[in-house]
Amino acid sequence: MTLRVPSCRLTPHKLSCFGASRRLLLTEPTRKVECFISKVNDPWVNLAIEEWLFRRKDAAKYVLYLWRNTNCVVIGRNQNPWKECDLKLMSQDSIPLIRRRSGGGAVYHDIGNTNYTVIMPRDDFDRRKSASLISRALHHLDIPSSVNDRHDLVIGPNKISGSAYKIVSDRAYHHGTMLIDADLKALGRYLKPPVKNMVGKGVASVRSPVTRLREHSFTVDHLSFCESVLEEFGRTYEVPDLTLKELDLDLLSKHPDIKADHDELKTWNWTYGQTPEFVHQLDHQFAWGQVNAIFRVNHGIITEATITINAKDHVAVAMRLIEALEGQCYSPQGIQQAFDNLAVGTGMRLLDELAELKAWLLESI
Amino acid sequence: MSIMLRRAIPSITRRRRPPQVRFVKPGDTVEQFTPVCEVQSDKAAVEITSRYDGTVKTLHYKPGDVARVGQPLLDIETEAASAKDHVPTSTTYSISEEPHTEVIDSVKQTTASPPSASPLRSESTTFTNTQTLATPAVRRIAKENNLNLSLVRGSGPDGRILKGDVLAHIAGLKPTPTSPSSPPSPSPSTTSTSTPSQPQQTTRKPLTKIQRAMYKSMTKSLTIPHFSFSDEITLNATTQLRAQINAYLKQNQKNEWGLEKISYMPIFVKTLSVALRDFEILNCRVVQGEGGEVELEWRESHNVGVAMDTPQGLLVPNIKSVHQKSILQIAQDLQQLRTLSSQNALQPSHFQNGTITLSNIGSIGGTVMHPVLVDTEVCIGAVGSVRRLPRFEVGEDGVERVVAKEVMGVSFSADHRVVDGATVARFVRRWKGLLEEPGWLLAGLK
Repeated sequence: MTLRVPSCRLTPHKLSCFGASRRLLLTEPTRKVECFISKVNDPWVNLAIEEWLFRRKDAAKYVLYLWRNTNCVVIGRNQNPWKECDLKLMSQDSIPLIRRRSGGGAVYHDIGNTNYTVIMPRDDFDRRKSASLISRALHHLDIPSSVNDRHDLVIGPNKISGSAYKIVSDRAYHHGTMLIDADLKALGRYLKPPVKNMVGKGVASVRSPVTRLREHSFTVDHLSFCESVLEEFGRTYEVPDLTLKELDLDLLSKHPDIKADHDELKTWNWTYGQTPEFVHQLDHQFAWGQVNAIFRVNHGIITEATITINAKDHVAVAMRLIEALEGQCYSPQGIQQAFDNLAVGTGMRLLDELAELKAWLLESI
Repeated sequence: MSIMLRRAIPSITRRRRPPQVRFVKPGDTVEQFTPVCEVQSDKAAVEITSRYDGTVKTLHYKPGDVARVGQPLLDIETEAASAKDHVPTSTTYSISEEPHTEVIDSVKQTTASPPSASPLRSESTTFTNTQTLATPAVRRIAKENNLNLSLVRGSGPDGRILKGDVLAHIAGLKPTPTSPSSPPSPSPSTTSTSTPSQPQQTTRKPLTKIQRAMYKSMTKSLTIPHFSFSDEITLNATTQLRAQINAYLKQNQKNEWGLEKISYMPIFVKTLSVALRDFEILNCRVVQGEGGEVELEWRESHNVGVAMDTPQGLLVPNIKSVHQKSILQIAQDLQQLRTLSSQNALQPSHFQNGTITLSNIGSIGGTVMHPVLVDTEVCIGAVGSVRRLPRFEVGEDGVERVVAKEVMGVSFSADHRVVDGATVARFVRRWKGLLEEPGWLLAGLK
């Protein structure tokens, strides 16, 4: 259902025309509401700030946080980056990979994408309600958005926003992206992983066709979106005259726990090491033989490697390669390390084959 | 004393995406509200906190495993002063069973003790509640006041004990549920026999999975006009045949079939299939054609469904391709199905593609039955119990005598929209002929 609403500011008495269902029933006379906007574009800092806002002991009941990042790919808590995005391309183009703390799928951020986070008490958590809030904010900008079955925001069949949730004992948050001016071609490139024979326990992204707000409005931009969301937030929680408090890097120096969280998000152990177990099967026909490799990777470390080379001279090499690979990180550095360890003590005649093997593995993982 | 509590997976999201788990370890001490694990489901990462103080005893899942909604997550051992429960209490988060309603994100909690709980207290009042439904907050209040919850009458839904009930009971304001002069009733039933003004206790329970399946299937079967045909089969020859087979199996203990002995069912099932060869219409099914008109689907394979009475209820798995199997192979399949059903390990494929059903209600008893058709079949048979009855027989000397025969009643129901009475009558007589004179089976052997 789309609602075309003129973008004049609605006063409370006009709201009654749209039915009581649009308003939350107040059980308390006042609600503690706070709204923040981040002036920082560093994705790790913004995520750390979000976590801090969520976990604060003296937290307000309802918090709105608006932020945007420079180019990066953000995957969900339990996802497998090797299956979700093209890590090689990202590394070539210097696009960092980030793992967030909430669930859900993989998304591409750039400065044309604005993120919103709505924090609320757990009992009030309702996926549809919070998605509808953002949708109404878009209606005020003359954009015909709606909420689909998966609680994503769409315009027609195309997705404009993806969302994810985190729920703890007393609070919950719903956060999502909003593609305003984002580079959709880049999004398509980075979120398209190369075809691999990989099976794992990670959460898979659900792909959908996307569009961006720019295709539906000449006047929308980051600031007008933020303002509209702020106004809708105030209307929904019946707190007039809300303002956005600005957050910047000073926050990191004032709150060491934000800095600590930011540092943790950047570690390899969090970004890659939190990948649930998966098995990757690869094979290749070389001039000198056929190689089949099966890697069982848990927490980013190769726990089990099975390598079969069907050339009789190379059986010993296969055994030694297995030994060298097991325990290494499933990454170019790990593979490189394994081959370096292997080069010591291998006969000269096999060096070419080993080099080819290494090149193939580095290319394929 | 310690109570073992189990935490179950809350249904915070749709069931189609199974949750993944991250955990505390056994031996860890947990307090109320400390996180015990993180569960991930489609888009939500949920941190589950402990409702109790205690020590983690066992984990039902490893980190990274896929957990099932409604199943226990971990066991927490607590110390509880109240002696009211001598049996494990399970804390489960209830699920909304409708997949189409809005996702219920707030976790609803019920605590119930199993019906076989609480022996009678030796208190003076006769009111005993075997089902003490109460939230942890209410239980805490009761515990703090050393109150036995089974003595409190709940005024909430389903007899749930609310905070007000407990407080009123403590204050002594609650009128005693029964007159003090009535003697304690020896049975742990919840309805006291003394005062007539007590309302009758009824409890509502949702249907189990099997009951629900039966309900759906039988409602569909209502649209089919049934007719029944019953007959009597003299089983003496079959009994002899069975004895011979079992003697053979006993001699060859390590036989390739893995069987010690067989029951009548494999013989019934095989002869049914042989008889079906001449009456293939009974193996059909009524379907809606593409143009909307009704068609008969002729099926080549005889997949005979065998009704099994299990502790969970009625299950009808089928034995596939009976027309191509021998009696011993069928016996093997039957044994396997019985084992699987006792372990609750039957797969959906066992229940699909059945073409005709045979029910052995006779193992419990009965003479004439009226089995209800499965809506994907047109014929179903039920065999009653075997009884020893007197019958007339002309002996070899030409004298008519009364002899004892083993007689079994059978009843067949069929879909009268596509099958007529004569067909079923002839089919049953054919089957009866094969069972009474197994020589015909041999004669037809290829």
